[in-house]
Amino acid sequence: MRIPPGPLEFTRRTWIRLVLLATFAFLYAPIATLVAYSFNDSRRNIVWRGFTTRYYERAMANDGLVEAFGNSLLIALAATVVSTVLGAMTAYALWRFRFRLKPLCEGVVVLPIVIPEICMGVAMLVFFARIGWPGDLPWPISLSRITIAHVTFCFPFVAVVARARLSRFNDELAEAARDLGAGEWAVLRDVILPHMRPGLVAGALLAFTLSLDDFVITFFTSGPDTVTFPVKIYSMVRFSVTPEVNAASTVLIAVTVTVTVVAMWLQNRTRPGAAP
Amino acid sequence: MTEAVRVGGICKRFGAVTALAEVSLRIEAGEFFALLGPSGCGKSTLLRIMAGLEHPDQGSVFIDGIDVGRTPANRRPVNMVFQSYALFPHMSVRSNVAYGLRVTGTGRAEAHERAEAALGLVRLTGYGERMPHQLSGGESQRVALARALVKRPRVLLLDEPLSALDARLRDEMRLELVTLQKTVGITFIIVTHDQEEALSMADRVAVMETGRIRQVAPPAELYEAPADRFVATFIGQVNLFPATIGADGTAQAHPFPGVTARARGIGAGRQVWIAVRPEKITMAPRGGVPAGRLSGVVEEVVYRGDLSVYLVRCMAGPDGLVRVSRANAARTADRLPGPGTEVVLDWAEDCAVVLAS
Ligand SMILES: Nc1ncnc2c1ncn2[C@@H]1O[C@H](COP(=O)(O)OP(=O)(O)O)[C@@H](O)[C@H]1O
Ligand SMILES: [Mg+2]
Repeated sequence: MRIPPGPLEFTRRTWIRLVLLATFAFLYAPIATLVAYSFNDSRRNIVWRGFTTRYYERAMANDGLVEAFGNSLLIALAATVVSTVLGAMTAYALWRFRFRLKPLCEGVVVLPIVIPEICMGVAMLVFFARIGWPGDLPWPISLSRITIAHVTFCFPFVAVVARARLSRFNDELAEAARDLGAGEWAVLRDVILPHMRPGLVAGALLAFTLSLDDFVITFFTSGPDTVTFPVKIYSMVRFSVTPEVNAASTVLIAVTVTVTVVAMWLQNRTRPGAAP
Repeated sequence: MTEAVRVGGICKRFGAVTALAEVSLRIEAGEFFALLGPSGCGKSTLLRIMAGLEHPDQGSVFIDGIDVGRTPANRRPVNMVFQSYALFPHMSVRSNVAYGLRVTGTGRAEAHERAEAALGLVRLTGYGERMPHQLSGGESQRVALARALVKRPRVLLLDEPLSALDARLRDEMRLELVTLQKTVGITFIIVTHDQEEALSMADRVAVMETGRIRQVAPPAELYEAPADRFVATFIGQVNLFPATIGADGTAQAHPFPGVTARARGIGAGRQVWIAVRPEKITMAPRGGVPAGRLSGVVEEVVYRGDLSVYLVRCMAGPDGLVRVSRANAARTADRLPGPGTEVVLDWAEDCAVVLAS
């Protein structure tokens, strides 16, 4: 006999299932198509002609694309490290200290999150032009402009996540450490940082993915010799959407998903209690 | 005896709230001392000032005769057991206990050895590998104790250490804390709002009210000779009769001619209170025995298992009820006076205490 769904068993109601299905289709159909057509044995992305990995090989052989991918990874890594350190310090300072104009400071920190990216891009372009930041530095120093630009919009995310985590800190933990003989630094190292860690991992992950696929700000700050992966794909798409572009995009998706999964797994493993 | 802690003239305000007003206190070495008072009276603040986690606006703190006013919390020879236990969630039980040693430079091997010994002291041998979230409330508490004791402090401060435990465990832990204190010989200062806890554990108790100390005395003295009305009513139950000091120096309760008490050192004509504890009052049916001090009618009987509380109406109005308690020595209740019984109440002369304020 069929038991009628209970009041909170939403997933057992037919119409809700349909809505869920439609939502998932809407969200993931384009991505699924993109991935599927990267294996399509056809010049044109219209009809399915059979499975091939030819376009992955071709993407690999495209020196410009590989170089752009390397640039993107390097920029993302550097921007993530710098943003995480800066964001952690900002969050700690905003949480720990009381000072004049603190509400203003908290507002200014999140400003880059709300400012339209196009404005940030233009501002960066003008800024680097104005101070005369050299554009013809040897690689990888040549990526410094883009990296600095990425840090400016990545570190507020880290700061916000870490700050939220700190607001759930039990002050008695710090007091207990102090009572047991820990100085200011030891308290930070042994109690506060371990508490912040999940927030920092989440923030770093955000920073990494944001930096990896940023287009607008990168477009404004990249020089002719410093092309990143999204910018490169954009320039390829301007001629035609080839399966090669699909293949490259699929790799980008794979990288972000892998990094996310690994980070979540690491976080679960180090969470207190998950260890035996 | 030598002194372990002395605080003098401590004042502490939080904005408009006065948490402590001119508190002075001397605690002897090896003593089990309790700070007792209602919630919000400043007990925790006083404890935190001793620990160095809070700074007094005024006044001084001496530990072992040394002024620690400028010594930060991490260098004071005292350790604290926090109300929330405050175990470090990302560290194992052993690392928690060893933390205080490791952070001050003790080697790993020695720290772990001493941590194991401290865990043995609180009967948690073999718990070293566990994480704090795998512990019950009672176990967490004992880890917190071990973590503080492992530092061999001069004074151990405990902020409401039993309040988070259930009733059964609380009784057990009371005994265990007393035994532990005798074993280690460290001065314990415990904060509590539970009078029973303070009376049953401490050698001496300080009763506090709104930032002031009302009385410091051993438990029996606190109960039998309270210093004022606040202490008398805060600790146990008490009958209070408004009274006036007569010319001969005896206090005479107003509407009750039989209620008198000898007052010492209080001027004639002063308004005072005569306090009588419910269990000091004897109760007999009217008629048989001599008249007694009061007579009335039993209005209500509250059965409490080991004893029963009788509310005897001796006069109309809210002040006319006298509370009498009697042990239920016999198994059946029918021989006890029920509601409506006319009774006479009496007590020994020295059971009535005069309270000047
Ligand atoms: N950090 C603080 N900020 C503001 N007020 C506080 C602070 N700590 C304590 N108080 C106030 O001081 C008074 C005494 O607090 P406390 O010592 O914690 O009381 P108790 O431990 O006896 O319950 C209370 O009125 C409390 O609200
Ligand atoms: Mg308290």
